[in-house]
Amino acid sequence: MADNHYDVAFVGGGNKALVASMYLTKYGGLKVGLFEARHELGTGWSTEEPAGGFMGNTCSNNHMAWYQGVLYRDFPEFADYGARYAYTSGVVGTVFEDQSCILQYAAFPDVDPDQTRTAEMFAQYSEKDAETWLKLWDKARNYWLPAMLEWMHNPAKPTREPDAMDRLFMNPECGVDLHWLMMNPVQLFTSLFEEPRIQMYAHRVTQSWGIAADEPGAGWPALLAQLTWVPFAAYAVGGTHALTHAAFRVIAENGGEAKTSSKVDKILIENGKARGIRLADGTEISADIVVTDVDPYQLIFELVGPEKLDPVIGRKVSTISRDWITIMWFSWAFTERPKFICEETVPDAGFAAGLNFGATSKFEREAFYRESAQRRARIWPTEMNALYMYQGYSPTTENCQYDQCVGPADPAEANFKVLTEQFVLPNFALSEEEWKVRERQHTEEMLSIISYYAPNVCWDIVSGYVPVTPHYTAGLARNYAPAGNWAVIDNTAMQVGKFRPIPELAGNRVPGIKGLYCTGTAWHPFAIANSAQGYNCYKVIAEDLNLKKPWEGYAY
Amino acid sequence: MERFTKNWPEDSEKAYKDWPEESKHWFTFPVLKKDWGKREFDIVIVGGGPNGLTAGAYLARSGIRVAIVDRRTELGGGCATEELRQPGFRHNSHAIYMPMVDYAPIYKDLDLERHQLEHVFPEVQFAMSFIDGSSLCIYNELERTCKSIEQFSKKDADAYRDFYKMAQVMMDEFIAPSTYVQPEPAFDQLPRLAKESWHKEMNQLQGMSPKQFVDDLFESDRVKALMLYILCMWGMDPSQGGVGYLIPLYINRASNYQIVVHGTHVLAASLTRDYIDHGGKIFSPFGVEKIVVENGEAKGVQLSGGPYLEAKMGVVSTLDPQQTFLKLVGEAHLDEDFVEATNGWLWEHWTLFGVHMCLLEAPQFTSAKNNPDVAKALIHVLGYESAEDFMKHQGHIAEGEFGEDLGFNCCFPTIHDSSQAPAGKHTGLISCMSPYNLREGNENWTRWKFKEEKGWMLINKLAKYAPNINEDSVRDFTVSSPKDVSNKFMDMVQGSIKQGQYHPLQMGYLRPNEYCSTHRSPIKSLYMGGACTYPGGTVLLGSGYLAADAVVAECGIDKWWQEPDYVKAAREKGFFG
Repeated sequence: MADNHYDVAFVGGGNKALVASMYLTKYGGLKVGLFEARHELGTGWSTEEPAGGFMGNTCSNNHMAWYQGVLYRDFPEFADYGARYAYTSGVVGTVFEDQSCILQYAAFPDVDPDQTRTAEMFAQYSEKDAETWLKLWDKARNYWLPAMLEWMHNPAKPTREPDAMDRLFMNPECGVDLHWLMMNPVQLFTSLFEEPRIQMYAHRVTQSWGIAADEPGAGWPALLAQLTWVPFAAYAVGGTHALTHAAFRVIAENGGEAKTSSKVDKILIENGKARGIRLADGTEISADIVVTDVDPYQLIFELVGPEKLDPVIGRKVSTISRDWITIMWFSWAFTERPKFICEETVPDAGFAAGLNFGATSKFEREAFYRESAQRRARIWPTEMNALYMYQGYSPTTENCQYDQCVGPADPAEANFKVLTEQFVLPNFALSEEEWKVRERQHTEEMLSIISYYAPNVCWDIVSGYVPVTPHYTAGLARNYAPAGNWAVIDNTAMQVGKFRPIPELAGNRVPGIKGLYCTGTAWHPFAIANSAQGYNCYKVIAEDLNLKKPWEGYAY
Repeated sequence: MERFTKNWPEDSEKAYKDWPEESKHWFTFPVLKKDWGKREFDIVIVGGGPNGLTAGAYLARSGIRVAIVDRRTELGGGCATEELRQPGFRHNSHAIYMPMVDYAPIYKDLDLERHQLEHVFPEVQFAMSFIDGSSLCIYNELERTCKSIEQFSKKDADAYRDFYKMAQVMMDEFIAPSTYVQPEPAFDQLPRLAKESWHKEMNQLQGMSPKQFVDDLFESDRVKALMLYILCMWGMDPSQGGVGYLIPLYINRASNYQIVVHGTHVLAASLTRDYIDHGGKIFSPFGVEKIVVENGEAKGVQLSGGPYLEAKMGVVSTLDPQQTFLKLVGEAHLDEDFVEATNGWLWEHWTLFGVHMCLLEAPQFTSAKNNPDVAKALIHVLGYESAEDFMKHQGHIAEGEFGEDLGFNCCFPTIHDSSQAPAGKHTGLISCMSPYNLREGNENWTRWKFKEEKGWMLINKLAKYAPNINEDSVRDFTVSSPKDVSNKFMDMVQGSIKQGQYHPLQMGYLRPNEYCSTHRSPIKSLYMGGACTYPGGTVLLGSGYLAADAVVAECGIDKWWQEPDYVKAAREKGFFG
């Protein structure tokens, strides 16, 4: 019979819970139990096969090489247990209606560490913009990247205490124009660059991070991502679900346990202290501390109860915006590589990790505002604005040696896995029947637009697809419901960093309840599937319980 | 930071020399080429399907250092449960009917219940529905099955009863025990059974083909149809004699199938956790470049894009013979004859075309109006009115045809375990025997529109028996074609479900051949433990178990596990050498 007491009981076994549990078991020496409602762990680190052997990430897909930096440092076994990353040389670009293309290159040593190749690409259209790019890159690698990594990998502080990002802004050498902090991404990129192609390219890339092109205050995160995320884009070999397994293997060998298909109904709280959890089947699990990996709404309104906390917390959480980042995210198995016309001028485009096309191609920044307005009015976007991501066999670079475990094992066989992205409406805006119709329609729309740029694309080369829509995402895990928002809560200025989800909770403790901690995608710093949230949660628990601190001697 | 940069390539050092110290390491370590070095283990197991996991679990509990390698992200091989299409709908995409829950040693020897392993054992095992609304059912209780058969022929009911009783004895006394014991050549084995009451019948059965058997024993077309199907559903060739001992096995097993609660994958997941609990390590997803052989001995396994795994005591391969010997070991280390025999390995006559349905309602079988038990059946067999229909289907398969004239089995796991779909909704699996080489051209197997068309063909056939299944009640579905299967699992060549045909020349002591059937191989310290090795496949959980047995015997390790009681009883009767 299963033991019903744990040192730490997790509500949810998603990737943030997994990261925190790796530390809690190995460094904390604690007995951890993860209780997950789904049939498998990892939540957003999930992968299904559009056709046998093709690994399609149904949620988190675009990672950066630094995503799990702390895990590689503190768990050398992590890579052995299957956590590996690979990259393509051309990261992301945009193809325009005239079949011209601009591409941003990766900053890996065998590609473009100085970003001169990217600058050359830009210089074709604007020498000034190329110069601007190199200036930005200089600041980014010297100031922004270290500041961002430090900011991400330290727990959120009280709002009046300057964090690494605040200190960056105060540094006169940092190269950050403070006006950027107030702009929306369209304003920022328009002010920075003169060439429309470069502007359009940047506007669209921004969206993929879950940042709205017309969102005030979102300009800076967009620029930061352009310079410190995009150049390090990588993908998990075998799909992001490989990370789930690697993490679980570490946890299990250090005594941790996980129960799947085990939804948690309530956190048991007595005299202002968390003492355990109750599962949906009535089982009570006692625990010295409870950690949650759920969205703030579930935490406050279902698991704890707002009446147990300062009423401001409940009211703030009820106003959190969480219905914006809802996408069509189809994984495709192709039996031929889509061959882009623009490869004639930019050969790397055919193997780029991402290519944007659609509304952006027409050089109309208003198209972004139109799309936003339509989406806010719950009108299905009338103009196609898509991102195509390729993860198949690629000649890439010699430094990136891994097997292409994202496609069928035999390299002679077609090995071309593709993901497409389009921003649409939240799950609740359509009925189940309407989503069924949209799934079908979307396949036609996608193939139609891709084939404009890559004429060999047609149904004949499609072996299968996974129809991920906001409806799908809302059903994949409760955290993404009701909108099917993969960011759980939006990445707006009031919900990022030390304000995420709300300042009262961003520091991973729950004010007024001892022994209850919280983390997840809706926590500082941002909606990404990297180690930061779980790591920070451990840092806070380690401080409270005086556990081992493997980061000592390092900046973070 | 030293451990970060210890194996850093020189050009990276140069490229990043102007970068702030802390940040440059973060984004390079995970992706750049590095010397992975080696790791030391006692036993390295190649392949983490049910057999690899079983071997791993037994050996890890022996206290030795074990590593399992698998090229897929998900372990468990065919024991997969996936949300293929719509969230909350969990499809058992390959293995679904567990045949040996009552016998396989893992269930008692390991601690799998602690890791959430649970089964459902439906009373109504099979239901074959006919166009006229009648049905024939097999139950987990003999008399209920006989009553169902009686509808069509009392003579057949009596014949079935008599055979079933004898088959039960054969199963309990010999077939089940021998499944979990190292095999010996037939001419050594058979005399040991001479004193048994069923010995003559067993010898007689041995030479029979399934078709011959059903024709001899039964008179009703419909009874023959179902009996022939249950005998052949795992790959027995209906016209091939020589492995007739499988006949009583399958007749008996047709009353004993179970499914795993929450999906087949829980079997793999529970084995995995038991394994890790006892110190086992897992390297996945990693491909294997080669099994290193020096001086005729297996020394280790080189991973592709990963470390070299030293194997101090040996390597267990749970892959098929061709991958193991021709690809990973290499012909240079093998006898010419052995290479020739391996090249001649027989893959299966047919494979399975799978349709994975997300349903908004449970199927309402027309036949259930006359017999409510149909609604509760685990395995539905549809499309055959007679044994001839089944043979016709086999004929089409041989011709590379995959058209309307066929039958299949289907299952709706949510009838028995509602956790596998959102509340009130259902999953359905159609498993249809199909050729691998399609007359229309194999490129069709990886064309979605073709697959979708064939999916509807099968769903429409289901709808003939359950008319509420239509475009509205089918929320979505996907398909696994034979090529999808072979793309997904490298050892399922031509969509093979058992790593090789159940042909008399590669069964029993000859599976995969006389050098490997006892789980050793011509290479010292290289063991065989997959479905291509005795006793075979279909989640018997036998080969991996016996590979562990071979390892402990050869390496002089204390064997912590006892033979099951029913094996002891058989041994006491003198059945085993």
